Amino acid sequence: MPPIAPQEFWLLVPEIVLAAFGMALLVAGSIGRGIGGRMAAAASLVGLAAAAVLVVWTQGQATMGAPILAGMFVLDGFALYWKVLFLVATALTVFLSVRFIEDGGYRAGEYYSLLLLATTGMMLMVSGFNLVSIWISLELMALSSYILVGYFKFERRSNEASLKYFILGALSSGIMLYGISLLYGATHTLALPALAGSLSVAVLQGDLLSTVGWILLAVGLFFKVSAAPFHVWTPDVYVGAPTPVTGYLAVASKAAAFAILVRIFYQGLAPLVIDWQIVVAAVATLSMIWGNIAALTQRNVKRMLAYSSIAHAGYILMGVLAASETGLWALMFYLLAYTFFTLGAFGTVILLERREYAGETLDDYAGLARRAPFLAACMLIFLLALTGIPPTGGFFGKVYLFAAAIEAGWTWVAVIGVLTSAISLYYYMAVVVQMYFKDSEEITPIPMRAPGLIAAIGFCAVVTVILGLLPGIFVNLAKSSILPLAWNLL
Amino acid sequence: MLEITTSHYVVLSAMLFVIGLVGILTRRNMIVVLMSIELVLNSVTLNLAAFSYQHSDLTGQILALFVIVVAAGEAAVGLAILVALYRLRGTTDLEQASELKG
Repeated sequence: MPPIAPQEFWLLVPEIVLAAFGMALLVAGSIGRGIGGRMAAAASLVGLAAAAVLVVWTQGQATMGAPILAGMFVLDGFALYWKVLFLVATALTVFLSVRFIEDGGYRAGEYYSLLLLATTGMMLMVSGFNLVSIWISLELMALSSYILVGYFKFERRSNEASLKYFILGALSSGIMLYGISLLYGATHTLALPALAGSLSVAVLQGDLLSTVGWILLAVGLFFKVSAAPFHVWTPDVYVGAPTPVTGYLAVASKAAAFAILVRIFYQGLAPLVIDWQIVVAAVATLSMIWGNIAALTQRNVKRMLAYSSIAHAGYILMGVLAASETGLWALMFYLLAYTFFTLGAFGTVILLERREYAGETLDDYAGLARRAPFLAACMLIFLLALTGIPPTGGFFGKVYLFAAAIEAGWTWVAVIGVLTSAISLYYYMAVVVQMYFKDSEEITPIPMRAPGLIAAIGFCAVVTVILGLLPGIFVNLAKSSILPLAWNLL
Repeated sequence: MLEITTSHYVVLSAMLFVIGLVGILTRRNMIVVLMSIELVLNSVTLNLAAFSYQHSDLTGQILALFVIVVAAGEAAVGLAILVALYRLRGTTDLEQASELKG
């Protein structure tokens, strides 16, 4: 093994800077009375901006697809795309959080610190090229998010949610790790390219160790993307967690998990493509059916969005299922659009929420069009995008995913996708009906304080529409970022 | 004399893994659940050490060390959540924490 050149560490400077900001906030937050919420939010935004500039500057110019640090990490367009997406999603989450944390009366320093550390974990994870570095980055993300979910520690529901998330998260992580250990036993390696090489030999011999290994690894990954039947934690955690954290989990955490799922399936497990396509098809179908049907009866908007997030995991898995370049960029485009419309929807919930979780039921949306026309219009855009109706990014995202599945010969999965999307129209439109066609007893306008939050919601709405009107630009971005990649599969 | 081979370790580790898995899923006391999580992670460590020795390859041992470190971090987070649970409800019984119904 060649020695590691010190300058290779410079290529990871964005992650190091972000982690440094996170730890500095942690220290600043625990000295004396800590630092104010706005101050901490501003500092974390500075950290995120610095990381974004550095990531484009250092890693954008790095030799594309070159493994660094003895093959632990790889810098390529694929990783760069996701890193920028995570940074944007985290910055939006910060905007969603400021007033929520102030109203909750909890210390702010640790909150933003954990947010930045979780993002560091995601950024390292998408660059991971070895199951060792991937697993440890995954744990950095997971451990930070367990605490974030339970951040409102005097709130019974927040505590319960973090308890459930922790137990099931540790379980899935254990299962995944056991799978990794079996794969190591079968192939003698944990590096993704070498793994693919050894597996193609092992597959021919019908090796039991590697079969059980990759299935357990896949189960752990399906848990992280909250696909059925590994979704049981999702509704409870989404409802109980502080709403900005729910948005963060639904968007950044899910995108990170999908990114690494694709990386492992397309690069490490490429020789097993025939086998894992069957598993992915089953999981995708189950998620779409289960998520959409369970969402039908929900009266709590956060819980409805949780089931919709399970259904969306099913749609996105179609991009994985295709095992083609089309599937890959369709998945990347969809998660980009999904980031904005989902965070926007959670932002609207946050604005309506008052203390003690009021403002979460469907009835609280009655007459919203009169009480807050701007908010209702934004929510309408997000709901249209969630359903997949033009002119929003959700429409093209779904079209590309379904097209990728059909192109790869999985027409029946795409048909189920279209049918379940039709079902989803019912529960998304239930909110629209409440907002526009029901009158509420309260007619006082909703106070529009928290300008940062409103700006973030407006920004998400604008981007969602732009993605629907000019999808070509973003599709080309996704396509160009997968070009220099040595995908074993493509 | 019975020689101890890698497969003995793998079988032992599989047993530990299953015991831990069943413990996490069925036990109602949070402390026992935390112990079961440790059991699962230790089964992985044992597997990695055995395979590493068999292949004379250090990667497995390195991951095993990392697993031990992360297990400590995980236990710390789990216990912190447990302390918060006890302060709120005066119990470590998971059945008591069931306000959110899936």
